Amino acid sequence: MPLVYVHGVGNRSGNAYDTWARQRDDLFREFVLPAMGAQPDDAILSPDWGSDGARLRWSGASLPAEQIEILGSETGSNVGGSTSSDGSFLTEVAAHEVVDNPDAVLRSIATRDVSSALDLLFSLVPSATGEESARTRAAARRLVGYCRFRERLHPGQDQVRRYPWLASVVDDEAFLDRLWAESSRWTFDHTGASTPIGQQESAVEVLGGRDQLPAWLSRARRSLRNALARGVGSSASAVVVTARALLGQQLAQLAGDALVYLGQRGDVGSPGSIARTVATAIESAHGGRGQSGPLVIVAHSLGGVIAYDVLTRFRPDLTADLLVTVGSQVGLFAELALLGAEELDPPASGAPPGQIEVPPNVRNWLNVVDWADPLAFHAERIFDRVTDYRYRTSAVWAHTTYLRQPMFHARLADRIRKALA
Amino acid sequence: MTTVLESGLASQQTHALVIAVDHYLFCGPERSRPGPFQHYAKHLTDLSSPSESATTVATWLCDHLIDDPYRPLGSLELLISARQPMQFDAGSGPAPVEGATFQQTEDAFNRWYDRCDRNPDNVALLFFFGHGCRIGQDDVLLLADVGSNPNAFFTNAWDFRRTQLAMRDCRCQTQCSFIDTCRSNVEEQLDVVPDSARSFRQPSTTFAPRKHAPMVYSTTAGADALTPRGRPSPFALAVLDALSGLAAVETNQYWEVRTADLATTINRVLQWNRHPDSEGEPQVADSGGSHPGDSVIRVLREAPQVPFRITCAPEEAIASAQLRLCRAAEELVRSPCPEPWQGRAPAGEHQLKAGFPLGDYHSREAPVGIRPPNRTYALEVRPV
Repeated sequence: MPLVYVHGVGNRSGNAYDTWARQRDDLFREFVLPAMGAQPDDAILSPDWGSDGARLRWSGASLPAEQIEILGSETGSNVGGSTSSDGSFLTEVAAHEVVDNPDAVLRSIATRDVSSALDLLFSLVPSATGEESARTRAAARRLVGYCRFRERLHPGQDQVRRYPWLASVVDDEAFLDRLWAESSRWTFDHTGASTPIGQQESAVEVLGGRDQLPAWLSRARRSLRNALARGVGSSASAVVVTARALLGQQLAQLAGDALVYLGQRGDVGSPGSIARTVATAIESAHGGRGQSGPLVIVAHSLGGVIAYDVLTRFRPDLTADLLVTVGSQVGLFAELALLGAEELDPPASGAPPGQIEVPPNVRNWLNVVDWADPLAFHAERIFDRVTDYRYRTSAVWAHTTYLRQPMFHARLADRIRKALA
Repeated sequence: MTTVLESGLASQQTHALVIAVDHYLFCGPERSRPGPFQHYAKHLTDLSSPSESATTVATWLCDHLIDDPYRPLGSLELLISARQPMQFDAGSGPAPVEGATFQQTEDAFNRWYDRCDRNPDNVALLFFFGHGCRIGQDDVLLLADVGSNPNAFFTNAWDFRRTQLAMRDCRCQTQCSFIDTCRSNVEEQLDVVPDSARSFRQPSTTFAPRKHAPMVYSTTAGADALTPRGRPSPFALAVLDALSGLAAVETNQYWEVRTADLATTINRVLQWNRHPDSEGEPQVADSGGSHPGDSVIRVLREAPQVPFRITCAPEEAIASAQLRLCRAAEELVRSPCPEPWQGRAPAGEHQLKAGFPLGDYHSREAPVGIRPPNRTYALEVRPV
């Protein structure tokens, strides 16, 4: 059991979360496990600490949620088989994207960053099982393979230079058709390389259309369109109010779970229930690492704080070959002296950064920071052996969906491969 | 002219309508028209297999049914839309074949319907090869000029379900349809509500009894149908195998191809013919919930040739086995070979004999019944 995933704030076991988790684990198997030298069918341990987290006793009556209905995503939550969690996600997208034309949202995002458009699309893909899941993963490899190839071919260039055809597509349907067609020669192999798969005329004809865009991708595009169409014409102030409400929700979730965690944190001899849950999972994985290669912990949001706390305070006897914190607040919590480093002085001007010593049982630490994510914080300036990986999504809505995004997983796999080399 | 054969009116006949569309006038990347259906239409690219399937079927019908003593072929309507004009020789020299536009198909359908309607003991056979889809619960067959109206794309598409309901009014008791198209739901690919396809006839409002009318689709509802480029489709070949005798049951001294289990049999033939290295999920033929009844389509005077696959248990014994399949004075022989023995034998009881020239296993023989549509058998042998 080489991979432990520690979830972030606001995650509570249930249908929507389980669906989301299945998609996340599918992408872990496709991209991250091979980068660790693990087998795609190796177990992924995901301790569920949400049941011990904060609980809004009146179902969030204190939150400014009324305006969320402005953009109509509550009714959009069932579009295209998406889950209710997709509904709030769509609201979030709607609140942060200027929607002039709901038929050209992906295209608009793609002109900033094709990868973000691709990741947004996969964030909306309904969870699949069996053969459909295999097809989804193969499609992810294909699209990632193509986008990574174009990025490496034109490093630092704008999107139209990387994707010259982008200038000729006018809407999302055309964008997806073209992206799908252009990617037909590519895949992303398990060594992390974009690989051409040859272009030869198919020996098979489909009696309903050739190489149609997979229906699930079309459904995801339509669910986005239908949800965002309701927001067209909303005043700028309404969008701002919605964005504020959503950020307020996230902050409330963070504050709630963080307060509960810190309040019930316990001490070294008697850790709190959340710390115990996470420690048990890491210990279980730690026991199996001899047979299955390195132990990697991926922790999202507050999960990063908890994983760090468990490894450095409660269980320094457990060794992680790599800790990956994603969109996490470890740096902020340390700076606020909430993690036991309060005796440290701030760095003198001009002094090298890295004041808090990361204990040796955390052999490598990678902290993923997206500047567009309001809940992601640096760690490199606070700790001595951590590398901040600046992940630019151009997408404020990314915080809740990193782990459902194939481009994110592909890039994470690259970093994991290098860190473990 | 689409009527490539009309042999005069006998009392009981088979009448066939065979339609194939390779070339779509208003679909594909270059010919799709701007409008709400353009993205869907541009993926409906030209095909090459349907015309091959249609000519293979038409040739089979002429070769096997013109002189059929039970229900000889009375007429053959053949429509093929291909990139080049097509001709077909039904026995009296090559004749041009018309394309399958909505109007031409409707005209041919009505001629075929009228002939079928003349006698309740007629057998009606209908074949379609080309693009298709489902709108809601209805199977829709795309004819050559579908998409001519860019705002009502399906105007020239064929509402097959309603047409089949109307076929209940036809007096012909035995009506078999073989549909080789995709059946994926078009709503998933459109941003607008699709318009309605059209039926060639309208069902009457008065009661019409169900006919023996199996409808066999090459794939299940919601799924794609695939076919090799430039060759007849596996489904077309499986249908012909079934009609040739693999759907036959023995009655007295004859073998009868009947409607009852036609879809099941075609599916078993399809799976049998599937290459063992094929990737992806197997395409499954489907009856579409039709009412197959149980009437006779053909009567064969000789036992059909049935494909078999024989091996040994344990499997490695096949490499040294000299195999013989005996029935009366007939004998098939297979020399030692590490592959299973695959061949065809007349339907019936056979005696399978295995000898081992190397002496590594004991010789063995056993009775093996070989019956349509196919037979797999593993002969148990003991090592010496």
